[in-house]
Amino acid sequence: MTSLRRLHDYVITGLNAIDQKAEVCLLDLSGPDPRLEPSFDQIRGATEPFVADAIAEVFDNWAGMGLARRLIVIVRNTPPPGDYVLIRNSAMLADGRLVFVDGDGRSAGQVSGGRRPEMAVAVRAVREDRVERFRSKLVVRRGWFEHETDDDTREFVRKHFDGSLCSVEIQQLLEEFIDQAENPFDVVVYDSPLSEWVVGPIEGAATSRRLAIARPEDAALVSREIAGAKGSGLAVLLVVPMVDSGTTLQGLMSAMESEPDVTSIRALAILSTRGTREELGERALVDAAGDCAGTVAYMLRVEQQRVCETDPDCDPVQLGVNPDDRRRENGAGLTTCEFWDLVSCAGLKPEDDVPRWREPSGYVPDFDRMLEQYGSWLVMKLAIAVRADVRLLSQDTLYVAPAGESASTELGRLLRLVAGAQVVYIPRPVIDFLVGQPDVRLDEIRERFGNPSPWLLHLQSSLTDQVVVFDEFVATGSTIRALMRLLTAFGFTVVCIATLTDFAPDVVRFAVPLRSLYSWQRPPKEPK
Amino acid sequence: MRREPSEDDAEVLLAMLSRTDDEALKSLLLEDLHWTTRNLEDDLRGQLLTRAAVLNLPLFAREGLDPSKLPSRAGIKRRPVDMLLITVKLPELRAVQLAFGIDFGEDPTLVDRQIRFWERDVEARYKAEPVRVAITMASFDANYRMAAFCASILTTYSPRYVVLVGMAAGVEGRVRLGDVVVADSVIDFGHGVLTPTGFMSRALSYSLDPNVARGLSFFDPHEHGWIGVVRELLAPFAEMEVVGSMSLPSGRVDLNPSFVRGTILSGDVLVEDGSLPAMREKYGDRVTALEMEGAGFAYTFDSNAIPWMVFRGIADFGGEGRTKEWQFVSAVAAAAALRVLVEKSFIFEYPESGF
Repeated sequence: MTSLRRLHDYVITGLNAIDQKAEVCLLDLSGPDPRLEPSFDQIRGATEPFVADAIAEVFDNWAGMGLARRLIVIVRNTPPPGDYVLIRNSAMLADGRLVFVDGDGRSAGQVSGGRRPEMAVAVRAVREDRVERFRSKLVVRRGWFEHETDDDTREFVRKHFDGSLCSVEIQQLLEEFIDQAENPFDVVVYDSPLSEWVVGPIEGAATSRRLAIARPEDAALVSREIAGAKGSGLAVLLVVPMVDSGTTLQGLMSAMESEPDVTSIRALAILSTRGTREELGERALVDAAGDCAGTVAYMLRVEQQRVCETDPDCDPVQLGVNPDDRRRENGAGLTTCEFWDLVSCAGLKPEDDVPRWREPSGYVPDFDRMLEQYGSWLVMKLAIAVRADVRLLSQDTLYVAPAGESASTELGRLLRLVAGAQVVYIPRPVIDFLVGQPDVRLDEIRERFGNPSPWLLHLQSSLTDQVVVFDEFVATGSTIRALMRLLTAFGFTVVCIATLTDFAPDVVRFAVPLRSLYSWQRPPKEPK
Repeated sequence: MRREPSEDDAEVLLAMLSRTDDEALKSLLLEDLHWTTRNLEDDLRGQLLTRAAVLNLPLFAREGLDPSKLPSRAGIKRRPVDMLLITVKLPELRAVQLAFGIDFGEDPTLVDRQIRFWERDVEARYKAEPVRVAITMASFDANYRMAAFCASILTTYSPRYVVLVGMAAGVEGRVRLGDVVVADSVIDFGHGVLTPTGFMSRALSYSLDPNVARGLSFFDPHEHGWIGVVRELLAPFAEMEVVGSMSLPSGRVDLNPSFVRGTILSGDVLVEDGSLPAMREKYGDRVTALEMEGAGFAYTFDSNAIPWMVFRGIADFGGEGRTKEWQFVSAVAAAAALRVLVEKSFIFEYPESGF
């Protein structure tokens, strides 16, 4: 049977197995599934006829069972007009029972067309497995971090990885790795001179799987004790937070191999700078002669950049910028160097999502890309920035932002993920309406914008009265003022405003503190 | 939290500006730079914004230069030096190079927008660390061009003192050829009003920093073997056939220069009509010499709160048929006096207050 035929059967079997009480079913065709490789890659573009037929057959089955269900299919790319899957399933698409959504929030079906950031967030929330959550919560700091070299030259790495916010996910992935090992491990040896964040998850996983644990310097003693009690050789799991060239890891593995009680060593890195797979991969370790000196499994592939002191862009040497401290954050905001370094990385883009009442701000930093690469770091900084104003736990604080703006939506997703915050997005038409209104009348809002709308329900049912308004940047302050008036009318207390950037520190003032990671005064934009 | 930017932030922005070709990014960086520098001292802000403007001039395109062949300004912070010596013409540059031990063929330490700089460390009697000296040449005369040049090089250097070294026309009878005049003030005599009855002077006067003036009042280069130094420096040239910028006076010369303090007149005219004595009558008896750059030089560094000095060797008397044969010799005498000042005086003893 071909892989595509297997996929057809797999889709039908899987969807038919869903509990009959379910009203909405999700079919995720957007990610690699090892059970269907390699042919699964072939359907990443337009949907294959086998899948189109499978979906149609499933709807037939459901109809036969009297089930009026909806099916949302998550795909890498929405099918183009005229695609077989749209023609084959046109009836279900027309009445809204079937919708295709891609990771950017674009959909095909009854509701189709442009990108909807909140849909993208929903898709990511659905898809978020442990690795995805780990990736999102891994704090990647950008800066200048001294890197040890073998000679007297200075070298810097541009990123510091901190997994302390995702210890739960790391521990779960470690436990899975231990459970799936062909030969059970006896002892976990870990080395983390610069990354204390790995210690908790490693100790947690080892404890839950009843494995001994040791640092490399104690490994010989621990191994002898366990081997003595066991009466046979030991299988060692060697865990390191990061593997780059692999030289240090090879040294550790060689030292372990020289222990007489050790019969097998399996190396696992939480992060790796190389490897063919983005996640849950395995890579070779190459020795000085260019030969393979073993392999190391890894959870997540990351990018790292090294800069030597002679590089003309080496800011600590050229500008006298202080190297960053791995153990200490540089405060709540971003320094000039940090901010513009991020902008240089992420690039600029013409402002989109421009409110109707003002002219566009021209080019602005590409906050989407900035958040994609350094989102958890920036959100963590924002969380630190608002800490003085928010006296409750973040879980008990409502975060409110305008809907439909991709960077704000991503900020909200990360606030939920990293800080466990409750986030509500207010639709842009509501804000547009409020900007022109002297008073906020809730009955009029409810009447105009539908009751019950999800955002209205969320606001009305909130148990907290403390709100933080957030947005990607401040230009004229009108959006934020409109949100504050709306929230005040609902009886909330706005305790502060949080933004990535403030473009109007000299001309826009609010009644509550504004916490921005960076600010400078741009030429004010005239209202339309 | 409100961002409170500093001068260091401005330096970061300037470095970022120098590294990018993206016009949109440059525009945002400039916005930030203007805002970042808004609360800095006017002079400092002016310097920083001038540097930003220089980075954005289409200089290379205008002059048809290949940027890849020029030393890059990327990441350059203003270079601190103890003393920045400015000359105008080639005989003056050669004289200063000679006095400070720089071979004429030596490559410059730094080239910035085709301005060449040579740096040297000089051992000084009253300073533990060597004195860092940078030497350059403006190439063009006239006060307005000197002012522009001085403002421009302040984007590259951060000097403690600046000195204009070279030659001038002297007031005959008050000084001899080869003498050295050190200015206690510089008068811009070209500033005035044209009225129906003629030119009415509104001369502008620039005086030395009082601490510098006090320090110079204690300085007599004769006490430190200055004449011997000048003769030693010039001896090799007397034995060879030298033409061009380093030519020497013809015939036997009894070089026994004096070191004179006085007022230097400065204007954008070359005086060859013998009017200097009359000008002395008009502007005061301390008028000793006349040249074409001192006023622009003094005004620029006064504006930047950097103490300045002017050392001029007397090369002619501003009369009809003047020759250039004393230019190199007089400039060497001036440069040698300055070298003696650096090595032997108290000039660098008190870092913050001058002398």
